[in-house]
Amino acid sequence: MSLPFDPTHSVQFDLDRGRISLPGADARLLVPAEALARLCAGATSDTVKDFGRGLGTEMGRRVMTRLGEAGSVSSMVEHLGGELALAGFGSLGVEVWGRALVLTVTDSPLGADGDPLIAAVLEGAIQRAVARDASVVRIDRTNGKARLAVLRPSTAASVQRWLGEGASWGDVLARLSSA
Amino acid sequence: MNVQQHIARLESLLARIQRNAGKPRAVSAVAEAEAAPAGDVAPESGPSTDRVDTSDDLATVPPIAAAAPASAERADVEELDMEDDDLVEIAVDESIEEEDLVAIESPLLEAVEVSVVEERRALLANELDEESAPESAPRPAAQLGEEADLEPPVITPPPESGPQVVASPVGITGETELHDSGTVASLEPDLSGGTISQAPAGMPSLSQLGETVELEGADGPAARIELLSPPMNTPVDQEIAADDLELSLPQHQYEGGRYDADLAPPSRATADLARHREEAERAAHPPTEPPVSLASPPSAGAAQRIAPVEILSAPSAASPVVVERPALGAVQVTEMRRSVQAVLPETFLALLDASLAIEA
Repeated sequence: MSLPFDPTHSVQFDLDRGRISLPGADARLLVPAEALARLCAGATSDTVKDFGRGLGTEMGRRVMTRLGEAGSVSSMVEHLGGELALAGFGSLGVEVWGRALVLTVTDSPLGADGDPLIAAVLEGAIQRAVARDASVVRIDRTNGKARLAVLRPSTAASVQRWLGEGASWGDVLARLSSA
Repeated sequence: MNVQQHIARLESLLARIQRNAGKPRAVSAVAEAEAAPAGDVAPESGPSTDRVDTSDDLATVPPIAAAAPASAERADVEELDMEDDDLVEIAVDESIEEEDLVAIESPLLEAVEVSVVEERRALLANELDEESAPESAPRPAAQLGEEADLEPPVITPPPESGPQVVASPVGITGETELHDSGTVASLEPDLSGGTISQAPAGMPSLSQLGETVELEGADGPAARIELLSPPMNTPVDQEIAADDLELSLPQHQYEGGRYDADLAPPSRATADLARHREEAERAAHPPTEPPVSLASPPSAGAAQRIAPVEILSAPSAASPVVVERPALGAVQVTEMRRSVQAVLPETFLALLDASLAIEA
């Protein structure tokens, strides 16, 4: 039985020194989300992916510390979601469409332009938490809710092609279920 | 021709005019003979019983122009036609002095004027005294002779109904023909020229009496009819008597926009003023009691004042005819199918591995 996520005293503000910190982590910055979005928009996809993977790896490490590899789906959502919430990326959820695992992020301050960054954060967290190389692809965004499918890299490329061809996210899920 | 000869001719002409003026005239007979040609004379086509024109009866008719035959009048006319010798030259001779001409012509002209006036009077008197005889009246033999001698006008042809030879009368069915001369002589012909049945003057005829119907009340007093409009000669300043049921409008003594201060107010003025004041009071201070609404239940007092509305169950003629679908009854319309519950792996890692296992 895993411990619930406890964010008490998770963020420490040292006003004398002018520092913001998390327990067991380096100093943090409070930057406007719009400024970060403009920065990601001006950077290359690889830069954004690297920046996001770095953020996610730290989150995965803290989740793995608390859960380990035998954590259930709900506990994983609770702890990983807690870490995303502390970073200010939105609320995490899990959907299972057949065999496909779909993570949902709601109310991200970065909007649709920040979805590649969030996908990179999740890839880094998963890799660090459960030691699996997975590719996260956004298949839908409706009403502030982004749906991100967790697939292997080859399958993720196919999904990207399907979406480019005009297929809906339902067709993509149907094709993944039938595959 | 000198002055003396002119005077002599004028005197002879004056004497002749005076002599002719003293003669009696039969102007009407001559005028009738001249105005009515022979063809215009009424035809004598009637039966023999209508008229009895015999030579003996003509003797009883007073001669109309016995004293003045038409030939005498024609002679007078001819005498008036002066010959060339009788013409008087009026041209003024320069040798004659103007005073002499005035002294000579004045008495002659006066005498001529007097004679002309007397002649006109005589002609007018003859025309008034003599009535035009009807066409069917008997005519004297002399006139008949003249009519026979008159030639029809050249221009106007005689009508077909003009004088013609009358055949011997044929007896009409039902008519008795009298052959006895004594019986015929006993009959007195009506030569008065008037109608056959002539009632006395001032009295109705027998035929009129037979058709007369006496009305009731004819012997009553004469009705008195009052004229509504005043006579035209009524003076303007006279006061017109007003009737009891009519209002007299201001007369001409009141100018426009003015009225008589002595006029009494109308009889309903007091009641109208009181009603107007009550309406003004209600408008200024409306009642505090809330109006009764049909949506909310009225109060007990209002319920007493408002009569209950009777709801008629029977449909009125204005209500529409509604055709409703029959009820289906208790039927289970919905059918719920339970989907296959997805099996959630126990660990997140198992779920992740299954998702990563998808190859496309």
